[in-house]
Amino acid sequence: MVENALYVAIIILSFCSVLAIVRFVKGPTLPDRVTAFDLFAAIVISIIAIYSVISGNTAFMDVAILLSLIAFLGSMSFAYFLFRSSKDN
Amino acid sequence: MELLQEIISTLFIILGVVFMMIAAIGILRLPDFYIRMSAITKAGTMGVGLIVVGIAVYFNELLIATKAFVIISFMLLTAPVAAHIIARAAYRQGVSFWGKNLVDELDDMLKKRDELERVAENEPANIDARIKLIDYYTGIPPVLGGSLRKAVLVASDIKDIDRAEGHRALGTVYSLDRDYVMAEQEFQSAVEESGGSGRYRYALGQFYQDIDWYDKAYAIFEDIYTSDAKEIRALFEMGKTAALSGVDLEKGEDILNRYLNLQPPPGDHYLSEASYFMALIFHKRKEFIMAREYLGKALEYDPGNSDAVNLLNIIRKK
Repeated sequence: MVENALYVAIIILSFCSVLAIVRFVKGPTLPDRVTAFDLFAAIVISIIAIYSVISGNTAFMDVAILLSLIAFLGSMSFAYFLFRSSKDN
Repeated sequence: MELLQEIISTLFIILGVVFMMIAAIGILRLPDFYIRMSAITKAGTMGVGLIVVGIAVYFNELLIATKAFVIISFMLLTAPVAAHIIARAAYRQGVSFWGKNLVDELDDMLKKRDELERVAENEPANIDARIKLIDYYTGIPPVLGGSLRKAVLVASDIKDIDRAEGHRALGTVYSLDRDYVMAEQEFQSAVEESGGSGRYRYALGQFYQDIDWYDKAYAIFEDIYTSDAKEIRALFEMGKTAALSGVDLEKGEDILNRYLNLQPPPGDHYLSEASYFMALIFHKRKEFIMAREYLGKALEYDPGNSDAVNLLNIIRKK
């Protein structure tokens, strides 16, 4: 029963990631895309964490930690890029 | 037992998934970038946090719980920082609001600055606008466009029109920059350039007062008062200096008494403050009953005197 609930959770999260991708494609501005990417990363972290329960392999939790780090660095560097590009005008 | 553990962890995970769903729907449906941003930062962090807690409960191991704790604390640290920085970058880039928000204080300030800069450029003789511009540059943090360098430039512009006023403005900027040697020089040249005008002598005295150089401040105010006995403001400033320095409280009390007995016009701005400093003298001498009496007077003259309210609270606590 618990297993089924986890599969449902992963399906719902995948649907959420589709919503985030829609916003990523629609934009309309670069910051919108960066935040959509942020949410997408959070969803992937959640999926990996849940998958570590389903597979019983706890090493996936390390992957989740790393991914949260990389997502933060990614949005930071995008913010830096935004700053640099807005200073010109 | 095992079943209970699984049920609790599943509940946590499902709750987290619900939060993630709220975040995803929010990012798709909310009207503008800044609102969408708030949706995903809060709901997204909450969602990931709950899911990870659920997993920690499921495994019930110290190692997994530690990893879960690391993920949660990392999310809590980074999500607000990232959101703040991206939102600021977006604002700088001019990403627009959705049109129904009422307050945009940063935009108001920038418009005010542009207006002042325009006036200063178009009307070379307008000193007032330039002084306001200096206040603007020195009053806000550098991220919002504050700049001591620009303030110095504007003050030098003023110097071309009115030398004394320019020196005074430069002195103010330097003292804000904590460069007290330069500031003192500028204030002194302002007095010299104006031929000893009262306005600039008060500015010099107040500068000494601000940097706690009470002997010099007292000397200057005393000088103003002895040269013109009508300058009762100088009398008040003398008393204030004495009260603040705390070296000669008797003299301060005597001077402030003289000021209060001169009965300045009822609307006098310094009346309330004079009573406050009187109270400060009694407070320093630990005569709290008298201090209270004078604080009452100070608040009677000006109910908005925040210094007096603070001192009254301190005395009441004892």
